[in-house]
Amino acid sequence: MTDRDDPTHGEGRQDDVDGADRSGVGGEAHSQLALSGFSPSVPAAGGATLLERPLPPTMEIATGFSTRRVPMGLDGPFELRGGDRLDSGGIAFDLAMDWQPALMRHVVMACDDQRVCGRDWFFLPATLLAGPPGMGRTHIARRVATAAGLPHLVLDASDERLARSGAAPDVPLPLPPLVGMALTRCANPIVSVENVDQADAEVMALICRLVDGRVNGRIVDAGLGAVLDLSAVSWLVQSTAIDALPRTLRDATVRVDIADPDGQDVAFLVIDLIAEAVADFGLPTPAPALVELIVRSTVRQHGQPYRQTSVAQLYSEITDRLSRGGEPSPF
Amino acid sequence: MHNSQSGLVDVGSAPFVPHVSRSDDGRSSVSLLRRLPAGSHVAVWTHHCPPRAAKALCAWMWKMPEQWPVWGRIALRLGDEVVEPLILDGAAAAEREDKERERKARQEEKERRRLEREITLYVYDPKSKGPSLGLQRGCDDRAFWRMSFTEKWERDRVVDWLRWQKEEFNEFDTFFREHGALELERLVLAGMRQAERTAKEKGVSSSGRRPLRFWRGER
Repeated sequence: MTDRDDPTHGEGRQDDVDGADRSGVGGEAHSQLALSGFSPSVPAAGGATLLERPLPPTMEIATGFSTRRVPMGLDGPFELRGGDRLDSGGIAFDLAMDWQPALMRHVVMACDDQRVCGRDWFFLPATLLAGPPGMGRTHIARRVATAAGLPHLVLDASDERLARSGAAPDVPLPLPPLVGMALTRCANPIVSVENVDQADAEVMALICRLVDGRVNGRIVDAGLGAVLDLSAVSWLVQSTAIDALPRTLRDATVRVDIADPDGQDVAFLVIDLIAEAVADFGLPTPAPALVELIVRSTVRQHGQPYRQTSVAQLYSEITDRLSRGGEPSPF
Repeated sequence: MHNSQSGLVDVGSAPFVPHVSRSDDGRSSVSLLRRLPAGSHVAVWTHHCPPRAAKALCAWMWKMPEQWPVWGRIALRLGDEVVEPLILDGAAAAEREDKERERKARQEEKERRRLEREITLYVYDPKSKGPSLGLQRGCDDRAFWRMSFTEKWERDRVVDWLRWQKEEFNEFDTFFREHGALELERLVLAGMRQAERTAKEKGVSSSGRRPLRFWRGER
Protein backbone atom coordinates (compact mmCIF):
# COMPACT_ATOMS: atom_id res chain seq x y z
CA MET A 1 0.00 0.00 0.00
CA THR A 2 1.50 3.26 -0.96
CA ASP A 3 -1.45 5.57 -1.13
CA ARG A 4 -5.10 5.87 -0.37
CA ASP A 5 -6.18 4.12 -3.52
CA ASP A 6 -5.65 0.97 -1.59
CA PRO A 7 -9.00 -0.63 -0.75
CA THR A 8 -8.07 -1.05 2.88
CA HIS A 9 -7.37 2.59 3.07
CA GLY A 10 -10.76 3.57 1.78
CA GLU A 11 -12.24 1.43 4.47
CA GLY A 12 -10.10 3.18 7.03
CA ARG A 13 -11.34 6.57 5.92
CA GLN A 14 -14.95 5.49 6.22
CA ASP A 15 -14.22 4.30 9.71
CA ASP A 16 -12.71 7.63 10.46
CA VAL A 17 -15.82 9.51 9.47
CA ASP A 18 -18.01 7.08 11.29
CA GLY A 19 -15.61 7.10 14.16
CA ALA A 20 -16.92 10.47 15.19
CA ASP A 21 -19.76 8.65 16.88
CA ARG A 22 -17.57 6.36 18.89
CA SER A 23 -14.48 8.35 19.51
CA GLY A 24 -15.74 11.35 21.30
CA VAL A 25 -15.24 13.49 18.24
CA GLY A 26 -18.88 14.02 17.39
CA GLY A 27 -22.22 12.33 18.06
CA GLU A 28 -23.13 12.18 21.72
CA ALA A 29 -19.71 13.38 22.60
CA HIS A 30 -20.20 16.65 20.75
CA SER A 31 -20.36 18.42 24.05
CA GLN A 32 -16.80 17.31 24.69
CA LEU A 33 -15.63 18.98 21.52
CA ALA A 34 -15.84 22.71 21.18
CA LEU A 35 -16.16 22.58 17.41
CA SER A 36 -14.27 25.74 16.56
CA GLY A 37 -15.81 29.17 17.01
CA PHE A 38 -14.21 32.40 18.09
CA SER A 39 -13.17 33.19 21.59
CA PRO A 40 -15.34 35.71 23.43
CA SER A 41 -15.14 39.19 22.02
CA VAL A 42 -12.88 41.47 23.97
CA PRO A 43 -13.88 45.11 24.31
CA ALA A 44 -11.17 47.39 22.94
CA ALA A 45 -10.07 50.61 24.58
CA GLY A 46 -12.21 52.78 22.30
CA GLY A 47 -15.32 50.78 22.96
CA ALA A 48 -15.01 48.72 19.76
CA THR A 49 -14.70 44.98 19.97
CA LEU A 50 -11.69 43.07 18.66
CA LEU A 51 -11.99 39.55 17.38
CA GLU A 52 -9.20 37.33 18.62
CA ARG A 53 -7.82 34.36 16.73
CA PRO A 54 -10.26 31.46 16.76
CA LEU A 55 -9.52 29.03 19.54
CA PRO A 56 -8.62 25.51 18.44
CA PRO A 57 -11.29 22.88 19.00
CA THR A 58 -10.86 20.63 21.99
CA MET A 59 -11.72 17.08 23.01
CA GLU A 60 -11.37 14.88 26.04
CA ILE A 61 -8.93 12.04 25.61
CA ALA A 62 -9.84 10.12 28.79
CA THR A 63 -13.06 9.18 30.52
CA GLY A 64 -12.71 7.81 34.05
CA PHE A 65 -14.29 4.54 35.16
CA SER A 66 -15.71 6.33 38.19
CA THR A 67 -16.37 9.87 39.35
CA ARG A 68 -12.76 10.09 40.49
CA ARG A 69 -10.75 12.49 38.32
CA VAL A 70 -8.32 10.91 35.89
CA PRO A 71 -4.68 11.68 36.87
CA MET A 72 -2.73 14.42 35.09
CA GLY A 73 -5.97 16.15 34.17
CA LEU A 74 -6.39 13.75 31.27
CA ASP A 75 -10.17 14.07 31.50
CA GLY A 76 -9.95 17.79 30.84
CA PRO A 77 -10.13 19.47 27.45
CA PHE A 78 -7.23 18.84 25.09
CA GLU A 79 -6.61 21.04 22.09
CA LEU A 80 -6.86 19.74 18.54
CA ARG A 81 -4.22 21.80 16.77
CA GLY A 82 -3.05 22.48 13.24
CA GLY A 83 -6.45 23.43 11.83
CA ASP A 84 -5.18 26.84 10.77
CA ARG A 85 -2.60 25.22 8.47
CA LEU A 86 -4.68 22.82 6.42
CA ASP A 87 -4.83 24.98 3.29
CA SER A 88 -2.41 24.88 0.37
CA GLY A 89 -0.11 27.46 1.94
CA GLY A 90 0.06 25.60 5.23
CA ILE A 91 1.48 22.27 6.28
CA ALA A 92 2.39 20.86 2.87
CA PHE A 93 3.81 24.26 1.85
CA ASP A 94 6.00 24.34 4.94
CA LEU A 95 6.98 20.67 4.71
CA ALA A 96 8.20 20.97 1.10
CA MET A 97 9.97 17.60 1.04
CA ASP A 98 9.64 17.19 -2.69
CA TRP A 99 12.04 14.26 -2.69
CA GLN A 100 9.44 12.30 -0.69
CA PRO A 101 6.56 12.37 -3.18
CA ALA A 102 4.59 9.59 -1.46
CA LEU A 103 4.78 11.37 1.88
CA MET A 104 3.86 14.75 0.37
CA ARG A 105 0.87 13.21 -1.38
CA HIS A 106 -0.18 11.54 1.87
CA VAL A 107 0.05 14.80 3.82
CA VAL A 108 -1.73 16.88 1.16
CA MET A 109 -4.57 14.36 0.97
CA ALA A 110 -4.83 14.21 4.76
CA CYS A 111 -5.12 18.01 4.93
CA ASP A 112 -7.71 18.01 2.12
CA ASP A 113 -9.74 15.30 3.87
CA GLN A 114 -9.74 17.20 7.16
CA ARG A 115 -10.74 20.43 5.46
CA VAL A 116 -13.48 18.87 3.38
CA CYS A 117 -14.91 17.06 6.41
CA GLY A 118 -14.88 20.26 8.43
CA ARG A 119 -12.46 18.80 10.98
CA ASP A 120 -10.51 21.82 12.00
CA TRP A 121 -7.31 20.10 13.10
CA PHE A 122 -4.44 18.15 11.57
CA PHE A 123 -4.73 14.41 11.43
CA LEU A 124 -2.61 12.00 9.45
CA PRO A 125 -4.08 8.52 9.11
CA ALA A 126 -1.84 5.93 10.77
CA THR A 127 1.20 5.63 8.54
CA LEU A 128 3.79 2.95 8.00
CA LEU A 129 7.04 4.69 7.06
CA ALA A 130 8.88 2.05 5.09
CA GLY A 131 12.59 2.10 4.40
CA PRO A 132 15.94 0.99 5.76
CA PRO A 133 17.33 2.57 8.93
CA GLY A 134 19.05 5.92 8.54
CA MET A 135 16.72 7.33 5.93
CA GLY A 136 15.47 10.03 8.29
CA ARG A 137 12.08 8.70 9.34
CA THR A 138 12.19 10.39 12.74
CA HIS A 139 13.42 13.55 11.01
CA ILE A 140 10.38 13.34 8.72
CA ALA A 141 8.05 12.88 11.69
CA ARG A 142 9.58 15.90 13.42
CA ARG A 143 9.31 17.97 10.24
CA VAL A 144 5.64 17.06 9.87
CA ALA A 145 5.05 17.97 13.52
CA THR A 146 6.86 21.29 13.11
CA ALA A 147 4.93 22.11 9.94
CA ALA A 148 1.63 21.28 11.62
CA GLY A 149 2.51 23.07 14.86
CA LEU A 150 2.12 19.88 16.85
CA PRO A 151 4.23 18.20 19.52
CA HIS A 152 6.24 15.17 18.47
CA LEU A 153 6.40 12.15 20.79
CA VAL A 154 8.30 8.89 20.56
CA LEU A 155 7.04 5.46 21.50
CA ASP A 156 9.78 2.85 21.64
CA ALA A 157 8.16 -0.47 20.73
CA SER A 158 11.24 -2.43 21.74
CA ASP A 159 10.46 -1.60 25.39
CA GLU A 160 8.70 -4.73 26.57
CA ARG A 161 7.46 -2.96 29.73
CA LEU A 162 4.90 -1.16 27.56
CA ALA A 163 2.49 -4.06 27.72
CA ARG A 164 3.10 -5.12 31.33
CA SER A 165 0.13 -5.01 33.64
CA GLY A 166 2.18 -3.54 36.49
CA ALA A 167 1.04 -5.71 39.39
CA ALA A 168 1.85 -4.42 42.88
CA PRO A 169 4.31 -3.32 44.08
CA ASP A 170 5.02 -2.08 40.55
CA VAL A 171 3.10 1.03 39.67
CA PRO A 172 1.23 0.75 36.38
CA LEU A 173 2.29 3.71 34.30
CA PRO A 174 0.26 5.37 31.58
CA LEU A 175 1.25 4.81 27.97
CA PRO A 176 4.26 6.96 26.98
CA PRO A 177 2.37 9.30 24.63
CA LEU A 178 -0.05 10.24 27.41
CA VAL A 179 2.60 11.96 29.50
CA GLY A 180 3.63 14.09 26.52
CA MET A 181 0.00 14.78 25.67
CA ALA A 182 -0.71 15.80 29.25
CA LEU A 183 2.30 18.12 29.28
CA THR A 184 1.35 19.80 26.00
CA ARG A 185 -2.46 19.53 26.45
CA CYS A 186 -2.59 18.45 22.83
CA ALA A 187 -4.96 15.68 21.72
CA ASN A 188 -3.47 15.19 18.27
CA PRO A 189 0.32 14.95 18.55
CA ILE A 190 2.54 13.19 16.04
CA VAL A 191 3.80 9.95 17.58
CA SER A 192 6.75 8.11 16.09
CA VAL A 193 6.55 4.40 16.85
CA GLU A 194 10.15 3.24 16.67
CA ASN A 195 11.69 -0.24 16.66
CA VAL A 196 8.39 -1.91 15.88
CA ASP A 197 10.36 -4.68 14.21
CA GLN A 198 11.80 -5.63 17.60
CA ALA A 199 8.47 -5.54 19.46
CA ASP A 200 7.36 -8.70 21.28
CA ALA A 201 3.91 -10.16 20.69
CA GLU A 202 2.20 -8.29 23.53
CA VAL A 203 3.65 -4.93 22.60
CA MET A 204 2.82 -5.58 18.95
CA ALA A 205 -0.80 -6.26 19.89
CA LEU A 206 -0.87 -3.00 21.86
CA ILE A 207 0.63 -1.09 18.91
CA CYS A 208 -2.00 -2.59 16.62
CA ARG A 209 -4.77 -1.35 18.92
CA LEU A 210 -3.20 2.09 19.26
CA VAL A 211 -2.90 2.76 15.54
CA ASP A 212 -6.12 1.09 14.41
CA GLY A 213 -8.66 3.84 13.82
CA ARG A 214 -11.51 1.43 14.47
CA VAL A 215 -10.54 0.76 18.09
CA ASN A 216 -8.12 3.45 19.24
CA GLY A 217 -11.02 5.62 20.38
CA ARG A 218 -11.61 3.30 23.34
CA ILE A 219 -8.34 2.02 24.76
CA VAL A 220 -8.72 0.81 28.32
CA ASP A 221 -5.93 1.90 30.65
CA ALA A 222 -6.43 0.04 33.92
CA GLY A 223 -3.62 1.94 35.62
CA LEU A 224 -5.26 5.27 34.98
CA GLY A 225 -8.71 3.84 35.55
CA ALA A 226 -9.95 5.37 32.32
CA VAL A 227 -10.92 4.73 28.75
CA LEU A 228 -8.61 6.61 26.39
CA ASP A 229 -9.52 8.19 23.11
CA LEU A 230 -6.36 8.34 20.99
CA SER A 231 -8.17 8.56 17.68
CA ALA A 232 -6.88 12.05 16.94
CA VAL A 233 -3.23 11.03 17.31
CA SER A 234 -1.20 10.78 14.09
CA TRP A 235 0.80 7.55 14.35
CA LEU A 236 3.93 7.17 12.25
CA VAL A 237 5.16 3.60 12.54
CA GLN A 238 8.74 3.04 11.41
CA SER A 239 9.60 -0.33 9.98
CA THR A 240 12.37 -1.86 7.95
CA ALA A 241 10.65 -5.24 7.47
CA ILE A 242 7.10 -4.48 6.44
CA ASP A 243 6.32 -8.01 5.33
CA ALA A 244 7.19 -9.40 8.76
CA LEU A 245 4.66 -7.16 10.50
CA PRO A 246 1.27 -8.58 11.54
CA ARG A 247 -1.41 -8.18 8.91
CA THR A 248 -3.61 -6.25 11.34
CA LEU A 249 -0.94 -3.57 11.63
CA ARG A 250 -0.37 -3.42 7.88
CA ASP A 251 -4.12 -3.18 7.25
CA ALA A 252 -4.55 -0.43 9.83
CA THR A 253 -1.88 1.78 8.30
CA VAL A 254 -1.12 3.52 5.03
CA ARG A 255 2.28 2.51 3.71
CA VAL A 256 4.52 5.37 2.65
CA ASP A 257 7.86 4.44 1.11
CA ILE A 258 10.65 6.78 2.09
CA ALA A 259 12.92 7.80 -0.77
CA ASP A 260 16.54 8.84 -0.77
CA PRO A 261 17.18 12.47 -1.63
CA ASP A 262 19.11 12.87 -4.84
CA GLY A 263 21.11 15.66 -6.46
CA GLN A 264 20.06 19.10 -5.24
CA ASP A 265 17.59 17.54 -2.79
CA VAL A 266 20.56 16.56 -0.60
CA ALA A 267 21.27 20.29 -0.20
CA PHE A 268 17.64 20.88 0.78
CA LEU A 269 17.82 18.11 3.38
CA VAL A 270 21.02 19.63 4.78
CA ILE A 271 19.34 23.05 5.04
CA ASP A 272 16.44 21.41 6.88
CA LEU A 273 18.85 19.68 9.25
CA ILE A 274 20.69 22.96 9.92
CA ALA A 275 17.37 24.62 10.83
CA GLU A 276 16.43 21.64 12.98
CA ALA A 277 19.74 21.70 14.84
CA VAL A 278 19.53 25.46 15.41
CA ALA A 279 16.02 25.07 16.86
CA ASP A 280 16.81 21.94 18.90
CA PHE A 281 19.88 23.32 20.63
CA GLY A 282 18.93 26.98 20.73
CA LEU A 283 22.00 27.84 18.66
CA PRO A 284 22.43 31.36 17.33
CA THR A 285 21.39 31.86 13.72
CA PRO A 286 24.40 30.65 11.74
CA ALA A 287 26.33 33.05 9.54
CA PRO A 288 25.32 32.80 5.87
CA ALA A 289 28.86 31.81 4.90
CA LEU A 290 28.76 28.98 7.45
CA VAL A 291 25.45 27.70 6.06
CA GLU A 292 26.89 27.79 2.56
CA LEU A 293 30.05 26.02 3.72
CA ILE A 294 28.16 23.26 5.52
CA VAL A 295 25.79 22.72 2.60
CA ARG A 296 28.59 22.59 0.03
CA SER A 297 30.93 20.42 2.05
CA THR A 298 28.18 18.02 3.12
CA VAL A 299 26.83 17.66 -0.39
CA ARG A 300 30.37 17.11 -1.68
CA GLN A 301 31.16 14.61 1.06
CA HIS A 302 27.87 12.73 1.12
CA GLY A 303 26.27 13.70 -2.15
CA GLN A 304 26.61 10.69 -4.43
CA PRO A 305 25.72 8.15 -3.31
CA TYR A 306 23.99 9.84 -0.43
CA ARG A 307 23.21 6.63 1.46
CA GLN A 308 26.75 6.36 2.80
CA THR A 309 25.61 8.32 5.86
CA SER A 310 22.44 8.08 7.89
CA VAL A 311 20.37 11.20 8.46
CA ALA A 312 21.04 10.89 12.19
CA GLN A 313 24.81 10.93 11.54
CA LEU A 314 24.40 13.86 9.20
CA TYR A 315 22.40 15.72 11.83
CA SER A 316 25.05 14.96 14.42
CA GLU A 317 27.85 16.22 12.15
CA ILE A 318 25.93 19.39 11.30
CA THR A 319 25.14 20.08 14.95
CA ASP A 320 28.79 19.57 15.79
CA ARG A 321 29.93 22.01 13.09
CA LEU A 322 27.33 24.61 14.00
CA SER A 323 28.26 24.52 17.67
CA ARG A 324 31.96 24.95 16.81
CA GLY A 325 31.33 27.75 14.32
CA GLY A 326 32.01 25.66 11.24
CA GLU A 327 35.37 24.20 12.22
CA PRO A 328 35.47 20.53 11.22
CA SER A 329 35.91 18.03 14.00
CA PRO A 330 39.54 17.20 14.72
CA PHE A 331 38.53 13.58 15.23
CA MET B 1 5.62 36.19 -15.09
CA HIS B 2 7.96 38.93 -16.14
CA ASN B 3 11.69 38.98 -15.69
CA SER B 4 13.82 41.98 -14.89
CA GLN B 5 13.88 42.94 -18.55
CA SER B 6 10.07 43.04 -18.52
CA GLY B 7 9.93 40.24 -21.03
CA LEU B 8 7.58 37.32 -20.63
CA VAL B 9 9.47 34.32 -19.36
CA ASP B 10 8.41 30.73 -19.07
CA VAL B 11 9.58 29.67 -15.64
CA GLY B 12 8.17 26.17 -16.05
CA SER B 13 7.43 24.48 -12.79
CA ALA B 14 10.14 26.28 -10.82
CA PRO B 15 8.88 26.46 -7.23
CA PHE B 16 10.70 29.74 -6.60
CA VAL B 17 10.97 32.74 -8.93
CA PRO B 18 12.67 36.15 -8.48
CA HIS B 19 10.47 39.12 -9.14
CA VAL B 20 10.93 42.89 -9.10
CA SER B 21 8.15 45.33 -8.39
CA ARG B 22 7.93 49.10 -8.05
CA SER B 23 5.93 50.91 -5.42
CA ASP B 24 4.29 54.32 -5.62
CA ASP B 25 7.01 55.99 -3.55
CA GLY B 26 9.56 55.33 -6.31
CA ARG B 27 11.30 52.54 -4.43
CA SER B 28 11.54 49.05 -5.83
CA SER B 29 11.53 45.70 -4.18
CA VAL B 30 13.07 42.42 -5.26
CA SER B 31 11.29 39.32 -4.03
CA LEU B 32 11.76 35.60 -4.20
CA LEU B 33 8.29 34.23 -4.84
CA ARG B 34 7.17 30.73 -4.03
CA ARG B 35 4.56 29.15 -6.23
CA LEU B 36 1.52 27.83 -4.37
CA PRO B 37 -0.44 24.82 -5.62
CA ALA B 38 -3.40 27.10 -6.38
CA GLY B 39 -1.25 28.96 -8.94
CA SER B 40 -0.72 32.05 -6.82
CA HIS B 41 2.62 33.13 -5.39
CA VAL B 42 3.82 34.18 -1.97
CA ALA B 43 7.03 36.11 -1.24
CA VAL B 44 9.48 34.20 0.96
CA TRP B 45 12.08 36.98 0.83
CA THR B 46 11.85 40.67 -0.07
CA HIS B 47 14.50 43.36 -0.33
CA HIS B 48 13.73 47.06 -0.84
CA CYS B 49 16.19 49.21 -2.78
CA PRO B 50 16.36 51.93 -5.44
CA PRO B 51 14.94 50.94 -8.85
CA ARG B 52 18.28 50.64 -10.66
CA ALA B 53 19.78 48.45 -7.95
CA ALA B 54 16.63 46.33 -7.87
CA LYS B 55 16.78 45.81 -11.61
CA ALA B 56 20.45 44.81 -11.45
CA LEU B 57 19.86 42.50 -8.50
CA CYS B 58 16.90 40.77 -10.13
CA ALA B 59 18.80 40.44 -13.41
CA TRP B 60 21.60 38.69 -11.55
CA MET B 61 19.14 36.40 -9.78
CA TRP B 62 17.58 35.48 -13.10
CA LYS B 63 20.98 34.29 -14.30
CA MET B 64 21.09 31.72 -11.49
CA PRO B 65 17.94 29.60 -11.67
CA GLU B 66 19.71 26.68 -10.02
CA GLN B 67 20.06 28.79 -6.87
CA TRP B 68 16.38 29.80 -6.57
CA PRO B 69 15.27 26.67 -4.70
CA VAL B 70 18.33 26.83 -2.43
CA TRP B 71 17.68 30.48 -1.53
CA GLY B 72 13.99 29.72 -1.12
CA ARG B 73 14.72 26.82 1.17
CA ILE B 74 17.10 28.87 3.30
CA ALA B 75 14.56 31.72 3.46
CA LEU B 76 11.86 29.32 4.61
CA ARG B 77 13.97 27.48 7.14
CA LEU B 78 16.50 30.02 8.43
CA GLY B 79 14.90 33.35 7.57
CA ASP B 80 15.92 36.65 6.00
CA GLU B 81 18.88 36.99 8.33
CA VAL B 82 20.67 34.19 6.49
CA VAL B 83 19.33 34.39 2.97
CA GLU B 84 19.63 38.16 2.51
CA PRO B 85 23.42 38.33 2.91
CA LEU B 86 23.77 35.25 0.72
CA ILE B 87 21.89 36.90 -2.12
CA LEU B 88 23.19 40.45 -1.69
CA ASP B 89 26.81 39.40 -1.15
CA GLY B 90 26.55 37.03 -4.09
CA ALA B 91 25.19 39.80 -6.28
CA ALA B 92 27.90 42.23 -5.11
CA ALA B 93 30.62 39.64 -5.74
CA ALA B 94 29.17 38.94 -9.18
CA GLU B 95 29.14 42.66 -9.93
CA ARG B 96 32.78 42.96 -8.88
CA GLU B 97 33.64 39.95 -11.01
CA ASP B 98 31.74 41.42 -13.97
CA LYS B 99 33.61 44.71 -13.65
CA GLU B 100 36.94 42.89 -13.37
CA ARG B 101 36.03 40.73 -16.36
CA GLU B 102 35.07 43.82 -18.38
CA ARG B 103 38.32 45.53 -17.40
CA LYS B 104 40.32 42.48 -18.47
CA ALA B 105 38.35 42.23 -21.70
CA ARG B 106 39.04 45.89 -22.45
CA GLN B 107 42.71 45.37 -21.70
CA GLU B 108 42.87 42.27 -23.84
CA GLU B 109 41.11 44.05 -26.69
CA LYS B 110 43.57 46.92 -26.41
CA GLU B 111 46.50 44.52 -26.43
CA ARG B 112 45.01 42.62 -29.35
CA ARG B 113 44.72 45.83 -31.34
CA ARG B 114 48.29 46.75 -30.49
CA LEU B 115 49.54 43.35 -31.56
CA GLU B 116 47.45 43.52 -34.69
CA ARG B 117 49.44 46.60 -35.68
CA GLU B 118 52.72 44.86 -34.85
CA ILE B 119 53.58 43.08 -38.09
CA THR B 120 56.74 40.99 -38.44
CA LEU B 121 58.50 39.71 -41.54
CA TYR B 122 59.39 36.03 -41.44
CA VAL B 123 61.37 33.89 -43.84
CA TYR B 124 60.60 30.21 -44.19
CA ASP B 125 62.78 27.39 -45.40
CA PRO B 126 60.65 24.27 -45.22
CA LYS B 127 62.45 21.03 -46.03
CA SER B 128 60.20 19.67 -48.73
CA LYS B 129 58.80 22.91 -50.12
CA GLY B 130 60.21 26.00 -51.78
CA PRO B 131 61.44 28.97 -49.74
CA SER B 132 58.99 31.71 -48.84
CA LEU B 133 58.52 34.86 -46.84
CA GLY B 134 55.52 36.06 -44.92
CA LEU B 135 54.03 38.89 -42.90
CA GLN B 136 52.46 37.93 -39.58
CA ARG B 137 50.36 40.03 -37.20
CA GLY B 138 51.32 39.90 -33.50
CA CYS B 139 47.87 38.69 -32.53
CA ASP B 140 47.95 35.73 -34.92
CA ASP B 141 49.88 32.50 -34.87
CA ARG B 142 50.38 32.27 -38.63
CA ALA B 143 51.27 34.63 -41.49
CA PHE B 144 48.38 36.47 -43.06
CA TRP B 145 50.30 36.85 -46.33
CA ARG B 146 52.89 34.51 -47.76
CA MET B 147 55.01 34.77 -50.90
CA SER B 148 56.65 31.62 -52.26
CA PHE B 149 59.71 31.27 -54.51
CA THR B 150 61.48 28.57 -56.46
CA GLU B 151 64.98 29.54 -55.37
CA LYS B 152 66.25 30.81 -52.10
CA TRP B 153 68.15 33.69 -53.68
CA GLU B 154 64.88 34.96 -55.20
CA ARG B 155 63.29 35.12 -51.78
CA ASP B 156 66.38 36.82 -50.31
CA ARG B 157 66.36 39.40 -53.09
CA VAL B 158 62.83 40.45 -52.01
CA VAL B 159 63.76 40.29 -48.34
CA ASP B 160 66.71 42.65 -48.99
CA TRP B 161 64.15 45.29 -49.86
CA LEU B 162 61.23 44.24 -47.66
CA ARG B 163 63.22 44.16 -44.40
CA TRP B 164 63.60 47.96 -44.66
CA GLN B 165 59.87 48.58 -45.16
CA LYS B 166 58.71 47.96 -41.56
CA GLU B 167 56.94 51.29 -41.41
CA GLU B 168 54.92 50.30 -44.45
CA PHE B 169 53.82 46.90 -43.10
CA ASN B 170 50.51 48.21 -41.78
CA GLU B 171 49.79 49.77 -45.16
CA PHE B 172 50.65 46.44 -46.77
CA ASP B 173 48.16 44.82 -44.40
CA THR B 174 45.44 47.26 -45.40
CA PHE B 175 46.30 46.78 -49.08
CA PHE B 176 46.17 43.00 -48.58
CA ARG B 177 42.71 43.23 -46.99
CA GLU B 178 41.47 45.37 -49.85
CA HIS B 179 43.09 43.76 -52.88
CA GLY B 180 44.29 40.31 -51.89
CA ALA B 181 47.57 38.40 -51.85
CA LEU B 182 48.47 38.57 -55.56
CA GLU B 183 48.11 42.33 -55.79
CA LEU B 184 50.25 42.71 -52.69
CA GLU B 185 52.93 40.53 -54.28
CA ARG B 186 52.87 42.81 -57.35
CA LEU B 187 53.10 45.87 -55.15
CA VAL B 188 56.08 44.45 -53.26
CA LEU B 189 57.89 43.42 -56.42
CA ALA B 190 57.24 46.82 -58.01
CA GLY B 191 58.61 48.56 -54.93
CA MET B 192 61.66 46.30 -54.92
CA ARG B 193 62.41 46.95 -58.60
CA GLN B 194 61.97 50.68 -58.16
CA ALA B 195 64.39 50.62 -55.20
CA GLU B 196 66.88 48.55 -57.24
CA ARG B 197 66.76 51.07 -60.12
CA THR B 198 67.21 53.99 -57.77
CA ALA B 199 70.13 52.26 -56.02
CA LYS B 200 71.76 51.52 -59.35
CA GLU B 201 71.40 55.14 -60.39
CA LYS B 202 72.97 56.22 -57.11
CA GLY B 203 75.65 53.60 -57.48
CA VAL B 204 74.95 51.91 -54.17
CA SER B 205 73.71 48.62 -55.55
CA SER B 206 75.64 45.39 -55.48
CA SER B 207 76.45 43.20 -58.39
CA GLY B 208 75.01 39.74 -58.77
CA ARG B 209 71.52 38.44 -58.09
CA ARG B 210 70.80 40.58 -55.02
CA PRO B 211 71.33 44.24 -55.91
CA LEU B 212 70.02 45.46 -52.55
CA ARG B 213 72.11 43.06 -50.50
CA PHE B 214 74.06 45.87 -48.84
CA TRP B 215 71.35 48.46 -49.20
CA ARG B 216 70.25 50.02 -45.93
CA GLY B 217 66.94 51.50 -46.97
CA GLU B 218 68.28 54.75 -48.35
CA ARG B 219 65.65 56.74 -50.22
